Amino acid sequence: MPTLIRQPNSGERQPPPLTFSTSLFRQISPALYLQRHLLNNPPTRPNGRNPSQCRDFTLTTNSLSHAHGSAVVRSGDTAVVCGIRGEILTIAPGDDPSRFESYNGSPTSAIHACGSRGAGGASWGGLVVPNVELSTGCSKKYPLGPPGGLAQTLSDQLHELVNVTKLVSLDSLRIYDGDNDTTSKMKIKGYWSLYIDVLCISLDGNILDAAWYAIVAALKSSKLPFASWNQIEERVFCDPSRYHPISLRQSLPFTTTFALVPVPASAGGEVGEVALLLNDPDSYEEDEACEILTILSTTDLGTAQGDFSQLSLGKLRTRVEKIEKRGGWKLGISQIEDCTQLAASKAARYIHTLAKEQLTPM
Amino acid sequence: MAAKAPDRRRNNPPSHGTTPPVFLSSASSGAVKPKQSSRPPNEIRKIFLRTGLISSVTGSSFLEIAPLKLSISVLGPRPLPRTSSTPFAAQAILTTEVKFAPFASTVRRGYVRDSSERDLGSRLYQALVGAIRRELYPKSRIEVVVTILDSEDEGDDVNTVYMEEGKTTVETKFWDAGRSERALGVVLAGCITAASAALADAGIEMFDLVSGGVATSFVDEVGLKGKGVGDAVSNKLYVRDPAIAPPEGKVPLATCVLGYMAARDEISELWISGKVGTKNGTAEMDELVDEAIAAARSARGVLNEAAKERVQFIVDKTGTTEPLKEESTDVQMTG
Repeated sequence: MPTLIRQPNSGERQPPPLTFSTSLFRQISPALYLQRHLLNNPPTRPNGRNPSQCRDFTLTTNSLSHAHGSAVVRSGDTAVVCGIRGEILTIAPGDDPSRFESYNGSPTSAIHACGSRGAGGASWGGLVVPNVELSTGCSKKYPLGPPGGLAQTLSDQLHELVNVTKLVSLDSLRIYDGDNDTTSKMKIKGYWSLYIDVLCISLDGNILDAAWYAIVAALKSSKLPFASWNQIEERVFCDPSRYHPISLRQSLPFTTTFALVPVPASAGGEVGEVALLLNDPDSYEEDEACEILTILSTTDLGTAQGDFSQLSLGKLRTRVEKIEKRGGWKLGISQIEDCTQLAASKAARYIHTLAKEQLTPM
Repeated sequence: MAAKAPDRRRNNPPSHGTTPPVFLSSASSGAVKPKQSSRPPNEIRKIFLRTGLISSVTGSSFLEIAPLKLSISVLGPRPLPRTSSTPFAAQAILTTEVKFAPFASTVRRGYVRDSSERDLGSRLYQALVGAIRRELYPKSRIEVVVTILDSEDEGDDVNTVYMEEGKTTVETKFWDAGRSERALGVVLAGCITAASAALADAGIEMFDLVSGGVATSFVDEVGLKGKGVGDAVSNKLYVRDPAIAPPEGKVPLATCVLGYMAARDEISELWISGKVGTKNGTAEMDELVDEAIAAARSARGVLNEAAKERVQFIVDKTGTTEPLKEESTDVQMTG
């Protein structure tokens, strides 16, 4: 419950205090409202969670009839739908497929810098094209119309994540000539290009985690038709009866996002400010955050693969692949270490939910 | 697909352009026909309608009819921007936007709204605008945003080519997919029903809830090819809420979509396309409209249930649980 620290009555008459309801307080002074909650012992967020607690999420895969793969992720009041459709890129006679192979095999993200938008459109670019759509009336704050700053940033971030993590391996995207030997590179006649569209249905903070999880889950559940080059017709045809999954990398990476909120603190008589880490922030907290930290990590469940209840944090083997921190200077190394622990447990939950979803028959 | 100018606000595909997958089927195996529905022609498909799922907007609804899935959010009423160029509006300004998700149909849709989406938007506007008491919300704006996540279209019929020995293949008919009156009619009827639910959820005052209904008249395949349409009247079959696959041996003649206010017995939007005979005066058209109204009445039942469910949910929530403590106590602020 938020209460304001009253100043000691210093003898002189004070004006009567201004009172108003909590909901109004929440509206007119969000920063103070959030701080008062977090100063409680134990610190509690306005949404009732403790700082390191993330929201429950649900996952549903392959509920759409026209997409090659799809996933619906709902995390608290944030809901996203991800649909994947494959289209065929046919290599023209003069083109050299090795340019594609090198692009997608590039070890660094340097190639991303001259990515599909900056250079005025992809030349030979990523076959995986993620886009985020926020103009769906998902939030009061987000205007309709062409993608604004947030949508463009997110699309770009996700594109970079797909490229950096090398999530999709090229093996299952190649289209070969007829029934010939599939090992020879010369016989590559085309590629599958994957259009990944993430529609935000409801937006309440931390869209990146939800979108990335939806993308991974949708890719994992995707089935592409078996395609091959038809020499008589000189085009690529698909077989309506044979489908193959998209091959992804072995250990799947997941993102975990934290928001840093400044809270006044007095240590040893000195009044300072500390930053409090909030796991999986909602949009109210995001608005007040001074820093946003995103950790991309993979987790190996080891022996506890099957039974989630026996999972303990100590047994998890985690590898951090990427840390992204936006703004501010308040975050210390020790806090980042705490975050990686939380990220590991979140990643474990992600994997567990994904595995459970894949097992249930459609 | 020809390479288009890149969209600088989005990630673009490789500039060589990509084509939707085309399936090859040998003629002997036969075409995979869309599933025939087993329900009687005077019964509409089951509707799933739920409101209030999106917390950050004023009102929202989610509707599912077989493969059709759509999400609607209502923004507002909110004040018009205070600029000198904004004209005075004595009544609320309603805007409707309908957008298919890129993955909602057999052929991938673009990001920018195309003409059929704009057309659906304007029809939805017509259906709703008369029902809302706009004079109660002057100088404000109400936005209805429809996102269609999945829809029914011709499916394999458009992206499969059949090859026979020594014969050329038939080209695919991609661009007609999902653009037929029946396909769009079912989508529009769903939009109207769900939009009323979302407007009610937003607490916007309306004269009546508008529900959407769609009906199609079919005739025997031979009847159409024969002397005249008039001869086939006896074989006419009206199907409410038609699926894409026509009934066995029938061809569609005309489709009627309407927005209907059941309590006032008023039609707010009417869209008839196809051949409606005029030999018997307006009798044929009246029959078709009556069928569509019957479909709309059935949808209204679902709409009422959804509205009731939502009210019950709010009553339960505020009635049984104690109001939150922090809501009831005022906060003191000094200084």
